[in-house]
Amino acid sequence: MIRFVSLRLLTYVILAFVATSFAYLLAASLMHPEEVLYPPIATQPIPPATAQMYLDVRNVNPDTPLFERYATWLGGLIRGDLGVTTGTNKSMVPVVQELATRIPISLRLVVLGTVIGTVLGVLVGMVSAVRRNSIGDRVSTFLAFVLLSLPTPVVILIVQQTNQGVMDLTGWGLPAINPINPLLAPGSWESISYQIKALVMPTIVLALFAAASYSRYMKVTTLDVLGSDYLRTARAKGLTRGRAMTKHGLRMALIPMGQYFAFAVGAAFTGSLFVELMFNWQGIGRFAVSSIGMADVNGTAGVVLYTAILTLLSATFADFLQGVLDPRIR
Amino acid sequence: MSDTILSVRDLTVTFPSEHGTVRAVQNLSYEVHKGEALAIVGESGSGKSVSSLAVMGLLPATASISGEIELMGRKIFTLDDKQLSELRGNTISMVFQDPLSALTPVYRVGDQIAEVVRIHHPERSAAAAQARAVELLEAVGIPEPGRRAKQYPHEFSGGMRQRAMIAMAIANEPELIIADEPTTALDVTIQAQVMELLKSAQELLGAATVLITHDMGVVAGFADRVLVMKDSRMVETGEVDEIFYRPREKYTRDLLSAVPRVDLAESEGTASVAGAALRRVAEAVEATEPAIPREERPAVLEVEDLHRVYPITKGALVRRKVGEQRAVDGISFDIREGECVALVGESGCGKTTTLMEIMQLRTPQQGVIRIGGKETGSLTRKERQALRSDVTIVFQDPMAALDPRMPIGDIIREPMRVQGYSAERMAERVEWLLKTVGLLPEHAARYPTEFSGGQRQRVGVARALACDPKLIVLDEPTSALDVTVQAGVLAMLADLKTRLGVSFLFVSHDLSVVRHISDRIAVMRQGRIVEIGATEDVFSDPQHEYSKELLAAVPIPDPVIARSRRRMVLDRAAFEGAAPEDGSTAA
Repeated sequence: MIRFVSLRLLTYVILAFVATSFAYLLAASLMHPEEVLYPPIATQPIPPATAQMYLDVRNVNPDTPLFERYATWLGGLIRGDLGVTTGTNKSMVPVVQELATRIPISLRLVVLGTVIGTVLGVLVGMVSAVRRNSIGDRVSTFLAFVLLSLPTPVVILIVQQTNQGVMDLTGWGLPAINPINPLLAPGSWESISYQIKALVMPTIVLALFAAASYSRYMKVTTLDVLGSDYLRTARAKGLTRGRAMTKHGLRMALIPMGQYFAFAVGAAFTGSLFVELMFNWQGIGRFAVSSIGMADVNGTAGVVLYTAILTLLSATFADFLQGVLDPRIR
Repeated sequence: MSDTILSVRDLTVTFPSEHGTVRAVQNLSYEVHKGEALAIVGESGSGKSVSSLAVMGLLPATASISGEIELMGRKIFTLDDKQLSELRGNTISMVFQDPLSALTPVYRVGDQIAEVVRIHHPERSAAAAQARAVELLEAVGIPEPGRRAKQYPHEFSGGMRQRAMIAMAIANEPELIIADEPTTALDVTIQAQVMELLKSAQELLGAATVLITHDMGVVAGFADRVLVMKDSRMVETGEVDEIFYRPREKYTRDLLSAVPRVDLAESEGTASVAGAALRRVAEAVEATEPAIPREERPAVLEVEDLHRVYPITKGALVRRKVGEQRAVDGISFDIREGECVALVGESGCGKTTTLMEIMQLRTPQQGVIRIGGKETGSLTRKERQALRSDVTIVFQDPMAALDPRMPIGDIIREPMRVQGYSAERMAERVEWLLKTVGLLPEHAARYPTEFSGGQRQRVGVARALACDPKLIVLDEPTSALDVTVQAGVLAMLADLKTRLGVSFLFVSHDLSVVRHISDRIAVMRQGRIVEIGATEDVFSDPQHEYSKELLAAVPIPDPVIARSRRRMVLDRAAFEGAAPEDGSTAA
């Protein structure tokens, strides 16, 4: 068992390393932060030595060979240093620090959205399979397809406008943007309740997307289970329809779902890009978009490292889930 | 009558489908009395399974049902799901066909048996139910029941799973057990054990039993009464002896006469109708025995000391060998011109691996395969391709073996096209081939789905015959077919053999089938041929222990003979082990 886990961990470290290295090499060879550092409207010429130092300290000097920059970056990676932000972001914030402030904000959104979406999707999918062709099945199928065919920003706008409509009517509503109210004292109850309220709408958006696709998968796996012999056996033993389904059918239908879960977190991260932009959250998704936009080589590589670890963790969780559900693969 | 357990009156079940309403069961009426075993016999699609699911109240919601089913005086169509659930597993229980899929794969076998106890006796503790599950497993003859109860279904063999299903079915001492093709998916030796177990369970409990089967052989030793169904209707019903010895209806007679008999030599003296049709096949085969003795005829296929070993590996990154599976372990046999050799054995004995080794036409891992005197390892690419027309194969499942998007004319034409036949010659041959296998030339434009299973298997044979092969390998060609259809296909094969002089390698798990068609039999077990000899000799005087066991396990479609072969197998002491405990929990 220890051998298995350590082998697994080693594979993951290698995978994360490979993914991040690719990201770094791609970003470093395609992005040119030196070009955006010197806007043509600069009033005074900068001494070449200063310029060189400026680029070197950020490890983005185009005169240094790519692999040398990569080696420097790797050296930092081993010490837990991901470099500093580059590109038009001239503040030289360490990427690790940037990630550390943003991950908690993003992670609560991604995790909550995935969990709620998955549970909701599993329930809706199961019910619509069991009550096939009922009104509930038709409505949920229709809604799932509408959601899946709409672009994320449209759904966000719908959710935001609904909230606005309620606020106009009743005078009470959820905060429209920002995860944290900087005017409230941090740690106070007002601040926490604001954070919770602010979380509601973005989570709804992410959960809706997860639920839409999950309900479809779940419906298919449940339909398979419904026609199975063991479910018939369970009923022949004297379990009612509902109890046979929850005791024997649900677990069997969940087994193939475990594998989809590995992708769910990745999908939620992609979803969170738009959500963070449109709700003005200072999370990882927003950081990813802006890093790429302003040619931040180190920032981009840092984001990829984070998503790689997140994806591998969710894959591990999916495997763990499968092991729990299915004794045949233990 | 007071001791009527189940009475079905005028039952009609219909399903809506794309092609209008399908009548699965029409006007079926029967009664089962206490302690009686009724067998419902019929071929696929005769409505036998649907009628029993109706009794359990387990038909899908789309079915529309009329008539009346009364179980112990309760009309089951008036009960709701909850009331029915109280009957299922307690008063009435069921053993299903496929033990591989009938148990929930993610729960321990012991838990699944304990579950049926606790559903109907919630007052029992979980531990008591577990203990009862172990007792039941012991009663149905599972060794080390304590350890086995903690295992999952995939750790059980097919026969053991069916035993576990029976343990579940008898757990609450039901009044009625319905067994739906309980042994169809099992090997013949396991089938014999499971049927004996069912019979003794029924006698021990005094329960009424409904056995649903297509196999007349199984019926003979089990049932008191028989009900024959065809095309959703009842054909005939009567005492078992009456049905076997004096059938009134033509269909019953056809069904019985199509049943292959392993005890062919002795069967002539008995009163049973069973096997009559195939006796004629066998006689035809024997009568046309060519004058030249087999040793002087050229060999079509020679297999010498063939081995096929699969390594068992472990590890994903670094694969290391932890053991080996000797699928074929040094077998040798030969087939002479115009001869039919049967390769018989139970699942996993290496039959299919042997076939694949021969069909590949490559150098085997170890040993030599010669076709028409040519060693397969020495062939060039071109020669190998040409040789493909000399050795052809007919597959087991006629539904899966034909491309559903090709008209059968094209299916038969394909091997000839590969070998470069001219268009006129192909057209001519397709017509001739279709006639030869008993189909009409105008069928050539139709698609496989328009044919029945037996007709499709005939198409498969026509395809195999297309390029005048020397040897046709038949991989369980009739095991997916109904008995009456099987008899027809076997008769056709025997006829082809005598008319065309083609050799067969007939692979089968069923001794009684090869009895009628083969000249020689090779009995395989665990990758080895344990006995090979002329069909008559193997059947009348089997030498190897395993051949004897196999022969003894084949059910005989004659009630008197079958009854004389029965044994008691349910462990009465283990089953009743819980009796005092029952009393204590009730008190």
